[in-house]
Amino acid sequence: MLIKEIEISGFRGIRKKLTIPFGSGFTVITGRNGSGKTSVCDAIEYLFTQKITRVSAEQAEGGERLEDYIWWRGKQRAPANSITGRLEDSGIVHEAWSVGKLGKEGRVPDEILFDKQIAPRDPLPALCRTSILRDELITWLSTDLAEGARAEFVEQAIGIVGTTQLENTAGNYVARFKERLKPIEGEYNLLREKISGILEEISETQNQATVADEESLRQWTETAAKLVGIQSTEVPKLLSGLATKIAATRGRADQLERLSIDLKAHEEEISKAAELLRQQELLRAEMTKLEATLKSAEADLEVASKNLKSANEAQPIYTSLAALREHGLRVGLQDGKCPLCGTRLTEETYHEHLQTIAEEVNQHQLGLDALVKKESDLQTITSQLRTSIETTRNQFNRYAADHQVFEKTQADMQERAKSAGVNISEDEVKTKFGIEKANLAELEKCSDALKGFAVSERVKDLLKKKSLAELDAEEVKKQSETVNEALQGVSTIFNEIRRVSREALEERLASLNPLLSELYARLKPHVDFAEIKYRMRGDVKRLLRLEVGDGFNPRFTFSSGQRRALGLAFLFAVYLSRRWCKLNTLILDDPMQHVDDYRALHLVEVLSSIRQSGHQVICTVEDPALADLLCRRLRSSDKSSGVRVELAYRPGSGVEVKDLSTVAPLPSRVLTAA
Amino acid sequence: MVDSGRGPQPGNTLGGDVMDLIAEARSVLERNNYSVIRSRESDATIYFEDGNLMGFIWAAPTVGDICREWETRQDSFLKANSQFLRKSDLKAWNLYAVFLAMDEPIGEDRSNLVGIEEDFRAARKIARGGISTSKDVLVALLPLVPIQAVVSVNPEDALVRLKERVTSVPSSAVEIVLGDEGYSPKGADDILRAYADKRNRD
Repeated sequence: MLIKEIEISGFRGIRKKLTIPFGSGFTVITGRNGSGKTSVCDAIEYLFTQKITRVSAEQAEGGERLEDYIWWRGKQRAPANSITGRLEDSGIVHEAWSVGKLGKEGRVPDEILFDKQIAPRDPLPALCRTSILRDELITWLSTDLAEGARAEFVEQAIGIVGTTQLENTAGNYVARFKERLKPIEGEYNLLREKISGILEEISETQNQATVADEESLRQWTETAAKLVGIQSTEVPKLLSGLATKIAATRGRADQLERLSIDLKAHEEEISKAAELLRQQELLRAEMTKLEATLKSAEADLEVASKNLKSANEAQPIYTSLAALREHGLRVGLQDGKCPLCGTRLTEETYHEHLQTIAEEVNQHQLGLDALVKKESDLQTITSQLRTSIETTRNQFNRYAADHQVFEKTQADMQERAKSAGVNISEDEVKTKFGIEKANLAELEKCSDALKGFAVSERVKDLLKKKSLAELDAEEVKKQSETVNEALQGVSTIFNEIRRVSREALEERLASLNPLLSELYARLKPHVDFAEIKYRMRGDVKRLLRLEVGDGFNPRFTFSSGQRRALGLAFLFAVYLSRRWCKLNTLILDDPMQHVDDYRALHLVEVLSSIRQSGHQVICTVEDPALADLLCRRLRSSDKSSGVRVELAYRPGSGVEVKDLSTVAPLPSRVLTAA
Repeated sequence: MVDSGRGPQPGNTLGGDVMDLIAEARSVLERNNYSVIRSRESDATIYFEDGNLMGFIWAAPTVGDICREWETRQDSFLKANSQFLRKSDLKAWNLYAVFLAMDEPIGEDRSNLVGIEEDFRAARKIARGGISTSKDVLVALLPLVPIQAVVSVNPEDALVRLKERVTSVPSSAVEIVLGDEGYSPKGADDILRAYADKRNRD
């Protein structure tokens, strides 16, 4: 299947209808930048997919996308907005298909373009991606792709049956059954635990079981009824009554036992209490005595204080007398007269008088010192007495408090004894305790006997429960086995899908390998690396690695021009290995950029070889000389013609065909004719 | 120029059966619809031509000979065939001068061969050494021939292969998982039912 013709109106930079009749062999489209070469490639893609995939490679800008510029937006209106194409298959031209701005026209039917049975998912984008090799995508889709994306690109291009979808479906079923298995296994485990619990209970219960004997049972029920004080023969009711009574009896016995212990301890406290009372009396007498002594000492102190006060009040007179004597001694008699009173005295009498004054002063001082000492001594005595009285009173109070505690304990004991129905006597309490213990033993004996009869009934119940639980467990086990088998089944399918997918990919890649090697050898991107290898690895996520030399990654080894040449080899190999694709047209949009003359010539030779292999080639180039080279080398013949188209952009009016010519075949025999 | 017998021949001093370069090159070209004739001047040279390309191949004794003589050989060819080339119009632009030798290029000869190929004057040059097998000859002449690697055209349906491998799984479950509808809770129930039925049957 080849592209016969395309008519483009109001699309991208093309306003008026532009018709290009493609050569069945090749078409070389040339023109300056902006002359519409890329628009023709876009139109072919749009005719098939109503999209331009290179749009996705370009970022939206300011909310606008290239998609907003698909149709003509110039000032002059376009006569129409449509693309019409005709395809040709073995000389038969199909009817025309059109797509327009409104998208209502019919697009090319899938079966014309590809074999649905072996086509990949989304075949139309895959077809365009591998048929239309655009300048800006050559390295982006090949050497510069990450290994995972490259593997996916090749898988898509060479038409693996949609195993990814199958893998997803099978994977979902695997996940679903795993999810479903969890609660079932949980339920089964719970049931097994329940059965184990019942078995354990049965085992424990059976040890306590008593073989039912009608007569024994009757006797024990009568005994129990008497003990409990009810008219009944029902074992559970009697057991319940016995339990209540046992609890009450045990409570009383415990109370008596504690009372007995406390009474024994309390006896020692009684003798201590009598001693406390005696000590209190002694302390009271002591306090009375001390208080009387204190009273006497305080009276003495009052007298001593008064005397001291009087002596102190006379002190200035004695001080003056002492000063007068000192003055008399210093001045002496004045003309036989006393200097103070003028009395005529002898020297001897005068000194006697002075001596008398000295003795009086001295006498007064001695008396004053004695009074001070006496007052101080009495103060010490009264203070000591007060302290002793305080200490004795404190001790007295402590004894009184201890005695109060004793009296309270005594009252408690009496209360407890009264509550237990006994007098506060250790012997009486002990006797009563013995009686309650005997009652308790009788009640427990009766209770145990009746329990033994009840347990055998319980065992029967437990065995019934165990059977029911085992039936449930069996049912859940069957469910679990079914889900497990289903899980195994879908896991088998899941694993086989991946294995088959991998095998298919490897087989198809194996067929891709000679192509890639040949095209690499033809394009010779790097003089030192004559061969290219690819390596597919990874199971969950497949990776396709390209290698040259000793495992070098060409992405990081080659120059941009070399990467471009390698990229073309890769993309040509992918193009030539698409068995599902019926369209045999290779479209190259300006592939010669960034490629030196030497490698450009290789590329032309490769395109010629692809042409020789029966493919239609459409190639756009900017350089007219390169266009001429392509026209000479792409082999125009009578059966498989070549066309050269020159496009130009007329300002305001859009793209138009400047020149269109059929490339004449070259003379077939020149050199070897002779 | 006459140099009959200078090219490598079968059974030469290299020992054993050595490939006849000229015969091998001729075979490759003829298989790919080229007319081939032997040069009048040398047994080691052939001329070839198809509807688009033409040129000559010289099987040189050594890579060193290529490096020394390629220009002389090319000029000689152009001179000898000038009358035909003038008649050929644009085809004269599609001229190939092919120089092959069996010995491996070493040292400077490697870059010399690259230099010869990068010289575009008068003709497109193919200058290669180390041509010792039929495959080497084919690789050297790849620019002249159609794509050689053939992609098989009988793809096996992976789905058929897949179904053949999961016979242990109930067929109804296989159909559900590999069907077009994808995963659904109902599908999961149906698969369980298929297994329950299988258990009951077993």
